[in-house]
Amino acid sequence: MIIATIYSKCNRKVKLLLLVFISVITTNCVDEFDIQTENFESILVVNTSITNELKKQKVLLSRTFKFEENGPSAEQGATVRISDNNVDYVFEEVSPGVYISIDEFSAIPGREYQLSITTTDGTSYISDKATLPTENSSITQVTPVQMVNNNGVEGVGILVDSFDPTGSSVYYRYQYEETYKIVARFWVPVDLTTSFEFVDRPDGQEICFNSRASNSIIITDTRSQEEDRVNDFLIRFIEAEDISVAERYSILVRQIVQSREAYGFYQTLSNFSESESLFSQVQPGFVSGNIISEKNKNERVLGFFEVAAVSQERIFFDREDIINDLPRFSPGCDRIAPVQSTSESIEEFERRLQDLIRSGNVKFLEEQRGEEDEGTFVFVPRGCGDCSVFGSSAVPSFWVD
Amino acid sequence: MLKKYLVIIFLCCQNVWTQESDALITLSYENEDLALILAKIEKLTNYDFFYQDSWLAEYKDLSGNYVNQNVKSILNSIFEDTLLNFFVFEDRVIITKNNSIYDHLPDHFFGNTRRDSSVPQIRNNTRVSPVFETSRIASQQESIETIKIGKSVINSSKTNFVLSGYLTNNQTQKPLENAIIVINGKDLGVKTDKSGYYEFELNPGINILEINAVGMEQQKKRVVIYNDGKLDIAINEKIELLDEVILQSEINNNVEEVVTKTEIDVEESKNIPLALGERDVLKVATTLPGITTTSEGSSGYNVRGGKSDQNLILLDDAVIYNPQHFFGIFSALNPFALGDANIYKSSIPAEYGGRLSSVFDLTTKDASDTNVKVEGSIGPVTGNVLIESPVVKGKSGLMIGGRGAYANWILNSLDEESLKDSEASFYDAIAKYNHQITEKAKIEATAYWSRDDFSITSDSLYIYGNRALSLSGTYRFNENHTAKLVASNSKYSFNIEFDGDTDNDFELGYSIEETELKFQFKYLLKEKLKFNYGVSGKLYVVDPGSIHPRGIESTIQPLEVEKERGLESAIFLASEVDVTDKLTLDVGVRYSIFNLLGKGSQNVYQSGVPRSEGSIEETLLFDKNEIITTYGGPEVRASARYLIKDDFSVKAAYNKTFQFIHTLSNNTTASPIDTWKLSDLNIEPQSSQQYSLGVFKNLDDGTYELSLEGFYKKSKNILDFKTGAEILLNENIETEVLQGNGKAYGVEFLIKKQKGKLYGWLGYTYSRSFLQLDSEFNEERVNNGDFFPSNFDKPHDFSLVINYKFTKRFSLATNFVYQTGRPVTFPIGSFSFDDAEFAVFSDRNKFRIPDFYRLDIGLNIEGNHKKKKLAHSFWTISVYNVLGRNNPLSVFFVTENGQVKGLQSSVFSIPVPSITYNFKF
Repeated sequence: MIIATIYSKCNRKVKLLLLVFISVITTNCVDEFDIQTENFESILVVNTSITNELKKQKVLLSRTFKFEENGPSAEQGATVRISDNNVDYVFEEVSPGVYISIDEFSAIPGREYQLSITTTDGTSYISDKATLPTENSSITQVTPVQMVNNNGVEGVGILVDSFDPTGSSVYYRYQYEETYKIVARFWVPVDLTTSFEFVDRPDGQEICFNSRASNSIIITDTRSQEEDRVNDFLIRFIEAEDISVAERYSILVRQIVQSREAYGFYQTLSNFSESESLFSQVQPGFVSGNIISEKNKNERVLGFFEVAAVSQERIFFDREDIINDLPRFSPGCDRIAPVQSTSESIEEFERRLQDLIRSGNVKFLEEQRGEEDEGTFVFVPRGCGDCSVFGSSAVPSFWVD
Repeated sequence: MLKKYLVIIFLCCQNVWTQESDALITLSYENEDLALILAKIEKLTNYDFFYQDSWLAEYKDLSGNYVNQNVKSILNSIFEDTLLNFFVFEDRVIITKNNSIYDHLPDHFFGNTRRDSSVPQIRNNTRVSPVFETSRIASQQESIETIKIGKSVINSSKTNFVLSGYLTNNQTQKPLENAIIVINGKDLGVKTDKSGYYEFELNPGINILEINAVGMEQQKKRVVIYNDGKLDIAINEKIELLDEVILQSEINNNVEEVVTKTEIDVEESKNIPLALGERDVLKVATTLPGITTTSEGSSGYNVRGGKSDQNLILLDDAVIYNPQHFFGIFSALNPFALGDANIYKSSIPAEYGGRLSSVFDLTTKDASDTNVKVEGSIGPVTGNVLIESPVVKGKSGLMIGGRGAYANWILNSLDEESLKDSEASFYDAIAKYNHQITEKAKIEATAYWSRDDFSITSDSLYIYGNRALSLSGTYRFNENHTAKLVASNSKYSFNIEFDGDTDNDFELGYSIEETELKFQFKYLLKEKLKFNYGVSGKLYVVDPGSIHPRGIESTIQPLEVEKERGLESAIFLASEVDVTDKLTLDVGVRYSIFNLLGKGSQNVYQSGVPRSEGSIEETLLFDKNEIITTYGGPEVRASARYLIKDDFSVKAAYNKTFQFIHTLSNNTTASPIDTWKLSDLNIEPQSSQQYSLGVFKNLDDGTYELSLEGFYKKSKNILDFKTGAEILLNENIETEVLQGNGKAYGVEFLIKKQKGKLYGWLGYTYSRSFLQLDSEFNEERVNNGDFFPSNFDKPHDFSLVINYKFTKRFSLATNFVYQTGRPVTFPIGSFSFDDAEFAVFSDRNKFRIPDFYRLDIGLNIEGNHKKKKLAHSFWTISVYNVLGRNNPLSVFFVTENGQVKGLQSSVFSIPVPSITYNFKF
């Protein structure tokens, strides 16, 4: 509540009393609410990008699902085929909804590719023909920099540069897979068993690795740039206290050069899923792609069949090189040292210790010995002594220390 | 001065002539005043005379000689040539002017009484009822001067009396020829001759004379006819005769006018509580049927199911593209500067064109040419001051007003985290100069400017603003013919400055400018036939956008989308014809032509395939001023009014309109960065036809106004967009555009109480608004090509505005609004794509957000009314959204961490109190 009183004196000896009295002036709020699905419609979702990499290409088929449900249901048992002007590439289902080409192939410039799908209910779907956009752009640099994001949080930003001297790429989409090293700071080579014996700790608990893939649409274009150059484009921001930048971090950035139409599809999808300005709302609607049902032209199909040119780049960096001065990830490593209370018998105390060890929530750290021969066992939360909580100990094949 | 007794009109019946009255006296006088003569009689008899001195003052230098006559006959003789009557009651003589005192009630006063058959009927059956003035009328129509004519003659059997006189121009003292005097509600009407003389017969009693003379102020006189008489009237000249003069006293105006218009009482608007105490004339308009906004925080108005770009908003004849500040929450028009606000939504007069749905005709008041006036207000959000000053005393005046918001802290106090770094400020200024050059000529010049700055995120700043200039000259050739020439120029522009962390900082600009010249004439051919005709030409220059790098480091490539120029010309003729006394037609036609002018390029697309960059067949290039394409056609504007009774009428109207410019917006609500686009080879002009029919009724001498109006509207080529269209800086915007049909219909009911301590109105509208976007191609079709509710389709709209005046100083105002929630597009499920979840959206506008309702209460306190006080002050304390209703503004869905979340936003979700101080001196 603000009370301001302003007195002003007119030259005609008139006193103006101006009282401005305001309590809470306006509140604007954005509240979250539970979405309930009404009029649910099961729609086939096709997610695929055929690339110029020689590999077994992948097509993902799923169905839309209700908000109340946990995730998509895979579209199983479909016949998937991609044909170019003279060859048919047949796909097989390797896991529910995941279809992989039986033979390796790469998209070749100048050829027209078309996707056809026949689902188990006999409906067949066909895509528009797509060609490979230019392959002239490649990532020139991926740079980690210390920065502050829009919310004022400090951390590491991963910036991408790329350049197409012919100026024909223009529409870019990015995916990444980040992998990071996790070191259990309070790892010791022994474990304490419930019978209070020391045994060798199994391998793979001191140093682990974890990987995460991008789960958002990252796109940019160079239409308004002088050159077809992506410059310092932020594809990922990691807060300084995130576990992934606690030690050593690696990111594989895939740049996908898209056609204008494919870019438009991804852009619309992305626009509909972003938080918006308070006062305007983008008109949402069904995002139509380039796949239709052959029988019923009005049936809705989600997805865009695209053929894209990919270039990728991996970088590594150590925390110390970028954000040494910022706070670091900590799983909260308070020492836990149970002692026998006066009301407790020795049996009761031991049972309590055994329960603690059995729970698996803690890892043995050390035994503190007093002047007499009695020792106190000290534990830490499991994550501090065992990195497998956060990842797996297998060293990725690409990993360079 | 001497009001000895209150004159009581009805006295008990008695035999009033006592013996004494027959006493004979002798009296003689020469060149004496009437008052003295009466004094003499008082001396000679027991009679006392009761009168007002002023009544007798005009009778001087009277002479007479009476020998042994009774008092009554002497008085009869004295008063014969005067307007005075007398009544003798016992020993008192009561003198009255004009009227006479009856000693019995008129026949049938108590209904039909049984006649005593023994008494033969003496009077013949003509109208003999005495003339009574009822005090009720007198008090309610105090603005009309009452003139009493002639002297009442008791038991007169004359049914008609002759009234004659001369009309003169008060300024020139010359006679007024061809002035028309109409007796309200009666079939009488007469024209003055060359010498300004008129003569007609009137029924005894109250007659309202309405004097209409071209170039003169309209006059109304209440004439109480007692007998034949004379009435000379001097009438003041009126110069702004092109504007309609609306006198509050015209109680049946709403019933009688042929073209229905919605009039907003600008002065009264201060009593209506609004958000943050800001007076807003146009917000008041939205409490009337047929005019709504899409939502609480959205720019623009939707009139009768039309898009918000279909309103022609004029400020002194210059177009204002965006009359609102801060996303529609505040008005951009200085409320102190406004004089009149009229909205045409049913039938648009032929002189206006270029927009489909309505005309908001706002005019500023004339600056005072006699003394300096200052008006101002201080509210929680803005400060506002308006100064008027004469330039040449009695001839010209200048008005300057300015308003600014100290609103930055509003945003800082918002809960929304992302808005903490935002800023918002706005300003507007207005200046007006009016000069009465001669009696026949007047010029007015208005300049208006507004600007908004806002940034929602820390790296981008949006600036938008209006500019409007107008210069008008009015000239009166003679009483029947006047001309008006208006030159106006308007500009709307916005600018986006982006200053982020990376090297793609840019500045993006957009502007539309229009310059219009309009030449308009009004001609009164006969009293029953008026013409309004003219020509207008408007040049549009649209700068669809340019982007420039900001800072040396920026790698943004400058880009300028080519300018568009268009010429909109029109010729119009409208006539108002009184077919009979009851039936009046207002028929107009406007022929509009739009030429898109070079220099420019236009794409030609293959037919049979959806428009896309790939289907461009060729690009045509045009030279400067070369006509690229032409559209146009006749627009018929016809309305008719039939008076069933004086206070009851039926009106019907048909309206055809064209609109050659379109807003480009892919938002569900209008926003300040919507751009305007001219029609071109690929985008056709919008057009609309509206049919409306209504009944209008006044009750209780205009205390209550009732209206019920229905409309049906069809429109064509309404612009919409493909899902997810890119609009800004798109050089081939036609590949993203969809054009479809609109359909709207509804019934509007309004009851207004204008008088008394409790006044206000209640409006209810049931209306629907639909859009159809159909095409042979799937991607250009929305909702399978069927009609679907438009974004502003709100079937039920109820408004109640009630003001109660406790005393002259305190009044309480309440405002209640209820509306059906607007349609939205909801997700009907989600899907997973690239490891993220997204929402699948339903058919467009299949769902609705919850209903909207809000109650506002305001208390107005006028400062004390001491005469000597310098400043008149006025406090408004108001609470907006008293019920604290969390009315959702919009509902949207975001993907966060791969999960779809539903969010709803609202602007004022709690009661918002405010206090505003207004002053005037």
